[in-house]
Amino acid sequence: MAMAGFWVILNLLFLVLLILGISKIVKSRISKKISIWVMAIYFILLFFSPLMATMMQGADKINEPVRVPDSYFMSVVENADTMTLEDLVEDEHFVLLDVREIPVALNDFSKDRPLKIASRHRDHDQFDHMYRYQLMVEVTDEVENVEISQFVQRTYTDQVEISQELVPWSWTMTEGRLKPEIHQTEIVRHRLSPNPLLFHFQEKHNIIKNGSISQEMDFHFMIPEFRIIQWVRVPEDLHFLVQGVGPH
Amino acid sequence: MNSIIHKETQMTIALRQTRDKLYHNANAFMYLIILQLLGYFLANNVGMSGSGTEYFSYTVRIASSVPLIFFTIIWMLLQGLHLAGEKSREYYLVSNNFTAYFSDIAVLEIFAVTGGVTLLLSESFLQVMVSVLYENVTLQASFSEVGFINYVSLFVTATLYLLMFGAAAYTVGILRARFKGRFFLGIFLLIALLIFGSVLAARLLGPAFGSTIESAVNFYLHETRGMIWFLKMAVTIGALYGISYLGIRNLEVNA
Repeated sequence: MAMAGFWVILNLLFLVLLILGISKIVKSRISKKISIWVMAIYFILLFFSPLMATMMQGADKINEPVRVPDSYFMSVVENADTMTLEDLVEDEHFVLLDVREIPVALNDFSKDRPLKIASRHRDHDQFDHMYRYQLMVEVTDEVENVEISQFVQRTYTDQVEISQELVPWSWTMTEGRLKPEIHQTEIVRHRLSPNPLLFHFQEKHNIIKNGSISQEMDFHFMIPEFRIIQWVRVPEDLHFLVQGVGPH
Repeated sequence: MNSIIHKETQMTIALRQTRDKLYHNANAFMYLIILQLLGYFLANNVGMSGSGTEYFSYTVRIASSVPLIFFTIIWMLLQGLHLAGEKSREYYLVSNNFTAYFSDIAVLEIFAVTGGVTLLLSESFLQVMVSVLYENVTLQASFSEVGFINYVSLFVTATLYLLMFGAAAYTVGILRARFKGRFFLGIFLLIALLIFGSVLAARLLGPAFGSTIESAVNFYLHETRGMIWFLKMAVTIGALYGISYLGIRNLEVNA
């Protein structure tokens, strides 16, 4: 506590010295003509800024969010049998994050020793509540190796899409076992909060209720839940076993 | 020379002095810009909030123009003190206390309006700045409710608050020039009186009457009724003007 107080005082002292220092330099070093010119330029910049701000906002609005219907993910998962990979690629509610091919030597696996595909990324995994994840396995003659396409349902926070920023999972093959590895996704957003004086006369917004101006930070946001589909295509001749769910 | 000046009314001289003082204090604008740039620098990241788990972290950084208000107020305080300083009245050969006072007040008001305009436009300037600096900038939901009236409210409140702080600093400066050594004694007594008075008031009349800095701030900032707020501001600024005029009237004439 005492340390914090010390820092506050030190910072204030620094600020006061900075302000007084600037004042001294401005008074002694900068001519009045330059001041007036700089002021004019500053004002021109300021007067054009509303226009620029509207233009920028207009540019942002081009990307209208795609409304994903409620429980869309569940319906996709339930109808998985009738779906093809192409359907999912063309589905505007999903983003194709990543496609990767994992080479397999068909001879290494047999009925007794099948390729194990882990549907969970750890054996005793309490799965992260922010992910909902579905593994779909398709047996096809179109591929020679295991091919995994990773889809994520479009997710928004603050009207901005974040699904594209999800770091794709990587799949690794170790000792005849194919398993996913999840990497951390870090998303940083910037939010502009309005000047509290804009709402000075509005009861509802009067931020200053608690005697402090910077109260209204309004940090509420929904933590999004990612809904991920891993579409695994396996060659016909490969013997495999999906772990955690049972063989398909 | 003298004969020409004597033909001029006091008002003309005061107006001329105002123009002259503005030019003399042109550096103040540069100072305002530097302080506001400092404000913008701090405004980019006034707060942060985030949450996350092992696999996902989500952080929101808040940009807000509140630091700008503070820096503009500091600027205004310094300008008020500077104008009240004796030096600002020494340049003028033809000056009496009325013209000196009038021109000081006029310059203060021009400064306040300048500060108000910059604060009004800073809202969109900050938006442009943040959008250029960072990707993925969103506006807080309450922006959608901001209309023309809100901008009027921002301009009027910012300007009058700046004027109030400027007038307060000017009054303090004038009182210091007027009372010299006794000024600090007076300040000391005033603080003692305020503390004693608020303790006494809290004791006798209940805690609601205890005055703190917070309650003084709330007296203005918490007022949502437009006219009453305006009245409070007008009375405060008027009282400060009155005190400073009484102070300057008794000063020696610098001419």
